[in-house]
Amino acid sequence: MADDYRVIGTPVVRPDGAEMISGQAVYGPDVTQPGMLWGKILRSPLPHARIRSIDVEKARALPGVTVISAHDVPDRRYGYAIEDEQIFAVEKVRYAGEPVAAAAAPDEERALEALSLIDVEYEELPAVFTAAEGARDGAPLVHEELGPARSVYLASWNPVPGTNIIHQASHHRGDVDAALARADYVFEDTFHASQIHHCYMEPHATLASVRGSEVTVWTCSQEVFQLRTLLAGLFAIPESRMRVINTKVGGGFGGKIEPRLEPVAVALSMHSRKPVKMVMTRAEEFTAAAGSTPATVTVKTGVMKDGTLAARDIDFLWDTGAHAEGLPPSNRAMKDGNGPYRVHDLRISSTLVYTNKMRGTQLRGLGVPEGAFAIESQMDMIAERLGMDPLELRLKNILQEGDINSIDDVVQSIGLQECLESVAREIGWGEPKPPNVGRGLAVIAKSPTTHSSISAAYVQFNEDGSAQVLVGASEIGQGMTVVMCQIAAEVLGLPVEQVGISSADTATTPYDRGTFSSRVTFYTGMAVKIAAEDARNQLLDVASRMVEIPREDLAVAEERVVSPVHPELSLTFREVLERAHTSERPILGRGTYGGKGDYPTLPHKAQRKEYVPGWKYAAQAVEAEIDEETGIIRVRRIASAHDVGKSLNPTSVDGQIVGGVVMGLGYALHERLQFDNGRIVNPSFMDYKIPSSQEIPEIAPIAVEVPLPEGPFGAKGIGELAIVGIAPAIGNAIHQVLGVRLKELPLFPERVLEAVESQRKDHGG
Amino acid sequence: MECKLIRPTDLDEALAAREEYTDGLPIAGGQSLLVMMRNRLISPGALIDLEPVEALRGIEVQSTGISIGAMNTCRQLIASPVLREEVGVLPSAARQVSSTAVRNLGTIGGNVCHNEPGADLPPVLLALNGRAVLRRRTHGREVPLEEFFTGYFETALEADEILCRIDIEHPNAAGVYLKHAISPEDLAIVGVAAVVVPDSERPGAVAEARIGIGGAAPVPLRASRTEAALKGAVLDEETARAAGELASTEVDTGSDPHASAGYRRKMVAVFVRRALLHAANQMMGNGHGAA
Ligand SMILES: Cc1cc2nc3c(=O)[nH]c(=O)nc-3n(C[C@H](O)[C@H](O)[C@H](O)COP(=O)(O)OP(=O)(O)OC[C@H]3O[C@@H](n4cnc5c(N)ncnc54)[C@H](O)[C@@H]3O)c2cc1C
Repeated sequence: MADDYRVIGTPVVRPDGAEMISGQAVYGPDVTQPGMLWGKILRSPLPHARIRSIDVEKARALPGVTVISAHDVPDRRYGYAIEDEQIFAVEKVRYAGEPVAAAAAPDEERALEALSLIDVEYEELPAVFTAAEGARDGAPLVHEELGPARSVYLASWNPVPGTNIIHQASHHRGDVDAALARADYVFEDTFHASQIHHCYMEPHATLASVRGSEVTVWTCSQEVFQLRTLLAGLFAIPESRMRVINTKVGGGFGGKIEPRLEPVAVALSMHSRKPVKMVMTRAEEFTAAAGSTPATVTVKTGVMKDGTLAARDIDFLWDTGAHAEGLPPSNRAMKDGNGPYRVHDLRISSTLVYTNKMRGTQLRGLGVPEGAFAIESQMDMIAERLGMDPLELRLKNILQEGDINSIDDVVQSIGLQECLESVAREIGWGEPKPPNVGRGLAVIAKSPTTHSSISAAYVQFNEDGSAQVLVGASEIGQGMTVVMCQIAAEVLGLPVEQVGISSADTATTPYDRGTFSSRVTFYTGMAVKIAAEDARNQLLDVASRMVEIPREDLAVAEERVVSPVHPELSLTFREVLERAHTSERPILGRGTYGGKGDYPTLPHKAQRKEYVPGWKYAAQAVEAEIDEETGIIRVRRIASAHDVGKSLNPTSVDGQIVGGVVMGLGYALHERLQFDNGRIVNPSFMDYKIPSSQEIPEIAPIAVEVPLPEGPFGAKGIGELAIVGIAPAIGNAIHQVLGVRLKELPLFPERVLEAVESQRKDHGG
Repeated sequence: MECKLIRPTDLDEALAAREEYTDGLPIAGGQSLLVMMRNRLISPGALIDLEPVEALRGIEVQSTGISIGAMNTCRQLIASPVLREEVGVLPSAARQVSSTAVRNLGTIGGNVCHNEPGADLPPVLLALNGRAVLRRRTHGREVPLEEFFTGYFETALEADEILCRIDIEHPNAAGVYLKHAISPEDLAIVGVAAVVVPDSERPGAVAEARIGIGGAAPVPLRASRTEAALKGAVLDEETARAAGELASTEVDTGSDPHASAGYRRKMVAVFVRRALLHAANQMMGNGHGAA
């Protein structure tokens, strides 16, 4: 089917673009309400300590100030997966940065003054700062009791009581030990990915207003419905009285999924009876919001002489910090840990450990980057040992149409080989280059979000024939709104400017699981497509009655109802809507969509082969110049090819790829939260470096289109994968030039130089 | 806390205000000062705006050297034909200061008075034998920059003084500034300025080599032992390497989130060597002038 779409596949300019670049867009920190107060949080300065006493009396004596601590809020635990958190620390603090009390006052200065008058007496406790320490026998416990888990996770939740291990998962297929014993070579390497921060431009910002029995929360969130459920449960009010309205979100990347300021803001508003606004400082973002969930990954791979991967045993050790938000990435590793390779005998195990640090949570890629750094680095080590071209080794082992993947899903509509070949071509793989220049490759895959991945949409016709889309997913800057408008416009026969969209308001838009894991284009997109088709059919029903032509003979085109059978027919949408609104009923299309597929750890899934649509595939290649004397790496070019199924909007696709690549570059080269006894010592953009415009290389985004029949117009997701392969690809390029293998991220100059020097020592130099 | 903004119209008024507001601070481009205030590291009771003070502007060629008004922005240093012609190393370093926005507002005076480790101008001004021309209401004084930079974020500036100008020597020399930073707009992990004065008698040899080092240590410094060792030397690969090694022993390096002390020390050796060779090349190429 050659593209005969009008709107799909064209670079439609996003309708919210102008307001964003002109500064008119209303982000979280821009929201105000009359009479509002400013809220601030007093945070623990210690990583692990018993709270002997909290004295808020002096602070409360300040006029116009509301001060609350654990005594003043519901004694309830919360969390999306594991309920291991309370609004304020109770009895003890578990990380430096944990909320202990909060104040609301007419201005921020006064609120801060109030906080400075709160006396907290702590008794410091022994603490654990790494997953390995935390998992050790007899380690100090971060949480004396583990859990409980929310019901949806209960089936696969596997804690080790009396330890800091909050979850252990394992996926086993075939006979790994026997296959490793049979293999010609066995490689075993351990890699480590540091904790990075999401670094969204917009800090967390929330305004909560409690009026009578109604609670309204304006916030910048990736998942408003999840948030509503949590807040309603926490404050014991029906979800119908808890309204969460999304502001424009200035970037999320996984950091705006779970609640941060919202519970505190609601509690402060309840106590002060005024709207309360809270905005995090950048330092709070770095020390108290969340980072990625760092992992140590040990990969054992058995390989045959001809390069065939025979077996793999992968062990992930995750450091989730003081709260178990690292559970989704640690579970995801079960599906994605092996990368896009054909390996029958396979074991993947994953251990999630509490430590006394700021929590790790989901971050763009959801556990895939940590695993891919290990797998894709080791692939090059294997190639070297076998004397094989890394490109050839990958081509030999990557998944192809009809294969069975790591979790027994049947592989369909996969464009991975084309991705790999196109980045190799683009980067000049195998072409001559100066000795200080290296090239590196990586291939990557990510499973679809299947677990309760549900979406709903309404598409309503307005009286003038234009249409309105309502979805519950969040626009977090990625361009979801333009793509949803395009999908509706294509189905409805409208120009895209005639389609409006409202999103992510729990009182007015239909349910959606939210914006995460590259899921919105696929799942919400399908809901919109189905709703638009429903609306179009209803419109044609009305038209059919008006002109007395059977509906099957009618179609929509250019804001009109037309008929191939009756070429003379021309009825404007406006005319049909006038009829509908005066003598029939309004036209409201409804669409719902849900993912299928399961975790391999769930009992009913085990070894059941099924086709699960929505796997995403990509390949990336870099070319970097390496200064042997200083360790400075200058990445010159990056090619990033993604099997997007169908590129619904090429500008958006390019934007997602380029943005992801740049984020991947930071993850590869600079980014890491640095700790001193559990305290973060680089909580600012001066000391935590993300790439600046001056060092961004030439980037070639490539869209490969192998349509996904279940996706909207064939589309798959694109949001995350571009971050994933940059680190291993750069690591591989460094190895090509210097002959050293870096197994810990980030790959900053000092580390590169250390590796060179220790190699020299090893070789007796 | 209240913070008053004082807008003097000339230097005398500025100096009077400086004397009056003992808890006040001069504000130049505000690029560092406002960041410090925002982060609540300092809370001055008054800000004395130097922007209107004409006496702090201009770049003048004098018989002994060049006198640069403290309120020249990095952008003005870059655009100055005189500086480009006579001491190209200074505009070249100014060009490496952070990003366009910071260069448009940040001044040479502010850069020097803030004395942040890793700032780009101090090592260059040190290598150019720079002197700080200071004034208080009653009188003035001149301090060689080596004595002006006294500590970590500390200078010899007294609470009632204003830095008016920085005088540099009119060098018959070639100069280079090399910066090693995480990202080009960051402060330097190591920044090395090398200024070499050709020996008019012996072609190829240097009468004098001056080396300013920033970033590596809490305070920018001159590598004076290295400079002494280079007097009269021919700057070949071997000499430059030895000079780098020696310079790295002159620096009391420190660790921070960007780099360890050990790495900084190694980088001093590398960058001093590279800067010297670069400068020597330049000297051979066009005698002097510096690009
Ligand atoms: C994001 C960012 C990145 C930066 N990166 C770099 C970099 O890569 N390299 C670099 O060199 N610098 C860098 N800087 C610092 C920048 O160059 C500053 O502008 C400079 O250090 C201060 O200049 P200013 O004119 O803004 O001074 P201000 O901020 O106004 O003042 C700084 C200090 O100097 C005092 N002061 C200023 N002028 C005088 C005077 N004439 N007499 C007495 N006291 C005075 C002030 O009281 C204050 O204490 C960066 C700054 C920022 C914000």
